[in-house]
Amino acid sequence: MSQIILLSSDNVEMKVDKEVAERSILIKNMLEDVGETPDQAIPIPNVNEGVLRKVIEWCEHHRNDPPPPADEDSDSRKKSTDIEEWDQKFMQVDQEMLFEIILAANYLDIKPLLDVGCKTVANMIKGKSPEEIRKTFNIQNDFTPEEEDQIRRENEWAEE
Amino acid sequence: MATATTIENLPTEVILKVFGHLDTDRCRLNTLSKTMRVCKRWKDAVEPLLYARLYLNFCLLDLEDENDGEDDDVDDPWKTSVSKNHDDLRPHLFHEGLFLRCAGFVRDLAIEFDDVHGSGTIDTPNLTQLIKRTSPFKNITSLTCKGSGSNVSLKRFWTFLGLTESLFPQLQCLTISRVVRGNSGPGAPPVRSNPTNSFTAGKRTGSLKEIKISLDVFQSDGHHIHEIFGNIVETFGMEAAGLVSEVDLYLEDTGAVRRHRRQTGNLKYLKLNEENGHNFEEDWRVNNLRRLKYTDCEGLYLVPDLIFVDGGCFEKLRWLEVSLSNWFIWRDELKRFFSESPTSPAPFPNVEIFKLNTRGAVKANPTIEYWNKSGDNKWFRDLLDESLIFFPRLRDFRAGTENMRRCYIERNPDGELVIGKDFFC
Repeated sequence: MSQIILLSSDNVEMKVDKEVAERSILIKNMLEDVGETPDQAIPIPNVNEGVLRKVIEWCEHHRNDPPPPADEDSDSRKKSTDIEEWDQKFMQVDQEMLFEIILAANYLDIKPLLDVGCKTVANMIKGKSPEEIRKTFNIQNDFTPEEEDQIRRENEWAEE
Repeated sequence: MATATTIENLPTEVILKVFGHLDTDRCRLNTLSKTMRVCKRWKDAVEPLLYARLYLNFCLLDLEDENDGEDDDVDDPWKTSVSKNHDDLRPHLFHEGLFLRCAGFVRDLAIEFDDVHGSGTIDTPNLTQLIKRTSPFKNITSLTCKGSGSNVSLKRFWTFLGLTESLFPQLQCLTISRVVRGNSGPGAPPVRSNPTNSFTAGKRTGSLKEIKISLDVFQSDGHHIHEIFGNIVETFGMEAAGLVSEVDLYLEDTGAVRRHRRQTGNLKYLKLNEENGHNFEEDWRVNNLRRLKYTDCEGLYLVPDLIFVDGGCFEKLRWLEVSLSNWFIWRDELKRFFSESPTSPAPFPNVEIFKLNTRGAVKANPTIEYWNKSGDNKWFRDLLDESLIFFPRLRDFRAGTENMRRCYIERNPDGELVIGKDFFC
C-alpha cells in the first residue's frame, strides 16, 4: 500500500495511505496531475494539524465506503437527522473544531464529510427559536426591532 | 492571535448547504422561518428557500368571481388557493406586497387541477385568469401539473401546458401527473402524433430540457400512456418525445384487457391496437428515457408494448424499478427474443440501479415469503445473479417492499465483479 505525506498549515507532516488521502477529491486530482506518488510532502495550507488529523481519521474510517449511486431516489430526501452513529460520535467536538472540519472538508473537497458536518449544524438549528439559535452560535442580532417584527408578521403563516 | 472559527466564518455556499438540510425537514416551513429571523445574512440566504416551492390548487381559484381590485381581502380566493402543506411546498401568501416580492423566489410550482377537497366541479375555469395569476412566477425552473380531467377538461389542461414555455422562460422540467379512473370513453381526444396545432409550428425555442410523466390508471387499460405521449408530441412538437426522461406508470384493475383475454383465450400479452379500437401511430420514441418505474398489477402488458424506444433498446435508461411479477414476464420474453436473435443489442446497456418490488410476489410465492422471514438471502442473490446478465453496468440492486434488501456492485480494474454485502435500506 503506497503512502503519501501531507503537510499541515502549521508544518506538521503526516503519513497517510494514498487510498485514504484520495477520499479528498482535491488530493486525488493533484496526485493524478503529478502522475506518480510524490516523495515530497503535499502542503495543505488551509488546515492545521489538529483538524487534519481529524479529517484523516474520518477518511480512514470511511476508506471502503462505496461511491454513492449516480442517481438517488428523488422521493427519499434524506432527513438531516440521518447521520451514522460513528459519524455522530466523530462530530461530538467543540464548535470551533466542528466548523474547522467543515471548512477543511469544503477545501479538500470531501463531499460526504462536508455533508455530515452540515447535517450536524442543521440538527443544532432544528427546533430552536431565533433567539436560541443566536445563543447557540453566538450570532449578533442585526435587525432593528421594527424589521424583526415585520419579518415575524410576514412569516407567521409558516410557523403555525 | 488567531480568532476562533465560528459559524459566521463559513462561506455562503456552505451555509446554503446547511440550510439545504433544513429544507428537507418535515417541519421545513417552520424551521426555515425561524432560521430566517436570526440575522440579515441568514434571512437573505433562507428566504428564497422558504418560497422556493409553491403549490397552487386551480379548483380553489374562484376565477369567475374574482375582483382584481380587492386583493387585500382575507377571503381572496387567490390566497386560499395557494395553500400550505405541512411536509412539503405550499406556503399561502397573505399579503399582496409580500407575494410580489417573493414570487420571484419560486422555482418549483405545482398546480393541482383536480378538486382534491371535493368542493364541487368548477364548470368553466378561466384559463386566462390562471395564466395571469401564474405569470409572476417568471423564475420557475420546474412545473408540475396534476389533473385527472374531472374538473378541468383535458383540452384546457393541455392548452395550458402548451403555453408553459412562453409563460415561464426558464422552465427546464415539466412533470405531468395524471390519475385515470375508468375508460376515457367517447369524446376522448384522438391521439395523433402528427403535430398540427399552433404551439408546434416551427422549432421550439423554449428552455424545456426534460418532461417527466406520472400516470396511475385504474379500471382501464394501457392506452392512456399512449394518449399522453401523443399529446406531448402534439403540444410541444415531435422532438418533445425525446425530452421524456422519467416515466412512472401504474396500472391496476385493467378490466377491459382482462375481458379481452377471457373472450379470446389469448394468454399472450395484449397488443394495444387490438383492444377497443384505439389506434396509435408509433412514430414517437422516448429514446432519452433515463428512469422508469413500472407496475402492472395484473401483468398484462410488456413494457415495450407501451413505451417505444428504437430497436427495443433502452439505451439511456439508468434507473429501472419494476414489480417482480412484471419483470418475470418481461425477462422471459427477452430470453425468448435473444435465443431467436442472439446478435441483437442489449436492451439495458446503461442501467445502474435496478429495483424489484416483491410486494405482490411475496404473497403469491410462499418460498420468497419463507426466505424473507427466515432472513435467508438466497432468493435475493439468485435475482441479482440473473439481473447481472441483463444489466452489464449494474451498480445498485434492490429487492423487497418497504424495507428493501440492497447491495452495491463494483468492478475492479480487471473488470471483475465485486459484489458487496447485502443490507436493508
